[in-house]
Amino acid sequence: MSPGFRFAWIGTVLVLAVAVAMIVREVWQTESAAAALKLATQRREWARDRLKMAEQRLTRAERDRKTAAAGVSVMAASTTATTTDGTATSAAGTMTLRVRDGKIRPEVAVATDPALRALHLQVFDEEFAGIWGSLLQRLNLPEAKVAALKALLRAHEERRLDVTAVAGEQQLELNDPAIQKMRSADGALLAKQTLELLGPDDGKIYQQFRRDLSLQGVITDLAAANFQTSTPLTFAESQQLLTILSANSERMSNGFVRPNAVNWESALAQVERSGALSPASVEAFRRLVADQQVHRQISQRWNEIGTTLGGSITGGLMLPNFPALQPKPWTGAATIPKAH
Amino acid sequence: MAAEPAETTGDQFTRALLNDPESIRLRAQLYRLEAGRKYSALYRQLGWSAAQIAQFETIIEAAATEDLRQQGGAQIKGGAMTLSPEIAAQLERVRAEFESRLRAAFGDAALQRFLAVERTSATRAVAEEIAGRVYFTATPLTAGQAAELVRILDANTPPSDPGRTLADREVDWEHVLAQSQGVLAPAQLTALRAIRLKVELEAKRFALLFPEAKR
Repeated sequence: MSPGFRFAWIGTVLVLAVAVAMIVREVWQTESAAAALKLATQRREWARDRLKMAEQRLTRAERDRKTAAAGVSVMAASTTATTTDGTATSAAGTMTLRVRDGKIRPEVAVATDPALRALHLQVFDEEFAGIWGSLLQRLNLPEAKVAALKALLRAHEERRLDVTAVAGEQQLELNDPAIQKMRSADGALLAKQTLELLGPDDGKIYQQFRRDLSLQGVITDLAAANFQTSTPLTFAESQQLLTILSANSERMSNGFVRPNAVNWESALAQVERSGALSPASVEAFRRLVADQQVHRQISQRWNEIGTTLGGSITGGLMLPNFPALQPKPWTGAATIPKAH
Repeated sequence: MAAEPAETTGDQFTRALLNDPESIRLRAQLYRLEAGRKYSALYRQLGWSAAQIAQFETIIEAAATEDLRQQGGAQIKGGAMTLSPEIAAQLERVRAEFESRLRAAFGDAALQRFLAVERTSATRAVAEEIAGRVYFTATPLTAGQAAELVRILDANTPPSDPGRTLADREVDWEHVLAQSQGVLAPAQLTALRAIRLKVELEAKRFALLFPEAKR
């Protein structure tokens, strides 16, 4: 039997932590990168001390994974547990799932390793049509403008990786104010460039799409959930749903949708009333909302337990767990070795 | 020899969460909700009524509850979760009872269909992701295309433990992409190429983070 096992982890990240992490990815301030770097250097020593807080290491999550919850999120991050000796042992062995405490931060690895970075950008290129396609359909741009928009977004992604690399080199958290300022500068540049490219009308549609981008995951989930039914999700339905989700989402000061802050109950009520979606899509959405509600309850419960045990929790928590009901129950010694 | 890791506050917290009945109940509910999506095509194939679907999902939820409850006995130390052989045996028992309940409720043929769907969960996830990426195009993924894609992926993936993700399996992507040419439209092929690259990225990132690990 092959030795590699991949385990799912369920983790919860508190509202604030998630909000801050997501804010890092977005833009709402304009400051020069040079000033931010200076500030970053000043904060380096403080940041190093902070990074020594071992318990926070426990909470480090792979933040690029999908979050899915209302109010609070339960993050399904993926990590891998692997036998270290290359052979599976008998059922008499033990199974261990170990929290990583490596020196390479997962969120920084892609930005700093040349091979991973190149691969990441290849993924960006191939995913462009899938992620931005519905916007492009609305805008109906000529091919040259599509190519120019893609180039702008790709350059922005490269700058995002550059800033992440700086955070890694400076030993700063991604939500460090200095890093946020660099992100903001990049975001402002992108906003300016896209407005120049698209003009005010299309630029407005683009901006709205970008501000609602985190809601696209709901749309794709729904499309994936019912594509095999007799009434798969249509583009028109997706636009209606996006409008409802957007109207029922909290927003940050920069206009972007606040992550994990959809009022699911209200959105569901509107979806049911609107008649805009097929019964299959409504049912799929109902299940999705139920899923969000359970995730929210779990997070609330864990927060209660954490508060009972030792006061309020700051940061997030990754809960190791082996997926239930595996066809072949785990056998062998499975350990996640320390990263180098 | 490495020193025994000390118990941390995080360990205590993790243990409390893993053993909290309310948390277990809620997490088991997620398995039920997931089943509704994961096995919806199976429901249609088997022509199950709403009552049969509810019965099936109730069995899943009950078994998941028992499984998670058993996992609560794991040792949590130094940020690591270890299942003893005794717990592993209990998990095996839970799984066997789960299958027995399905067989008793729906018959062996239905159980075998369920197991077949379960075995292809990773490859079906690829089809679902593509469906989510091309639904708005002129060529949304059809059920027939999805079935054929799953067949191609399975044919080009060595048999391995069900439930393992594609990143842990040696998929012959070149063959998959070549054979998919005749099945998928250009936009769908682009989405498939993106998935292949993401799988590769995940595998390489893991290798960088855990150089000692053997896959």
